[in-house]
Amino acid sequence: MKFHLDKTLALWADVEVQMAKIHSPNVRRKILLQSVLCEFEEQGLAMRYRRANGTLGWKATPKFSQHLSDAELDATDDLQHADF
Amino acid sequence: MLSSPTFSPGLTRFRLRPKMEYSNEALDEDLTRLTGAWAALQSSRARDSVYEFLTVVFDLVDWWMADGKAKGRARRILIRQGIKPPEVTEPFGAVIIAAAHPTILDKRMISKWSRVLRYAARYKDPAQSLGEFVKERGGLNACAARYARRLGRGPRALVKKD
Repeated sequence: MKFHLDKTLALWADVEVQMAKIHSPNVRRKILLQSVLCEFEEQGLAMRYRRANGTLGWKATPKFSQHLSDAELDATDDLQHADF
Repeated sequence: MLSSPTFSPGLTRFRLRPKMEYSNEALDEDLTRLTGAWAALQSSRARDSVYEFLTVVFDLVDWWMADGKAKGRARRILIRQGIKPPEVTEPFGAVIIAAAHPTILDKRMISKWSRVLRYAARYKDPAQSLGEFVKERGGLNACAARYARRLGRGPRALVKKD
């Protein structure tokens, strides 16, 4: 089964899959990705949805998008006030 | 746009899943999103806020239906809320009841919203928002009536097409 992820979720799921790969080098990427997606879902970061073609896809939840947006604003703010 | 992947959501735990599952923890997160949408509807005076709540309900049940497990999950969500599920579970109605819990909604309102969502599940283009779909067809009451005519019980549902 192929997983369809939105852009935001694909980026962060890939980060976690790479981390998981370090600890479980012999596990297939597909198993790692589905494990990461389930964990994201349980933490309220990812949600499933029905795509236009009727298959299931995954996307970042509004909570996760807000979390990322806040983090980006904080980072920008820190950068502007950084004392180099 | 994210410029640098230096921030990680950081999974607090990780375990391998040989199967794609929909755990109680995942269901609880969906329930939290539903109750949040219900609370937002309760505190809002905006005319369109009901569509935001119904969209959250619709999106959840829509993927459950695509996964072929809507009725079972609707029963699960009622049980998670401490509500005894009825013998015959209608997923949209069950999710609305669970979202509003402990508020007891009027049966006619649940029935109307549920008919609107069932009608949208059958005829809405996935690219179109629920709010646009319903408004184009005359609003909630008109959509509920369309459901009754086209998909509901009774002889008119079998012969009449609009």
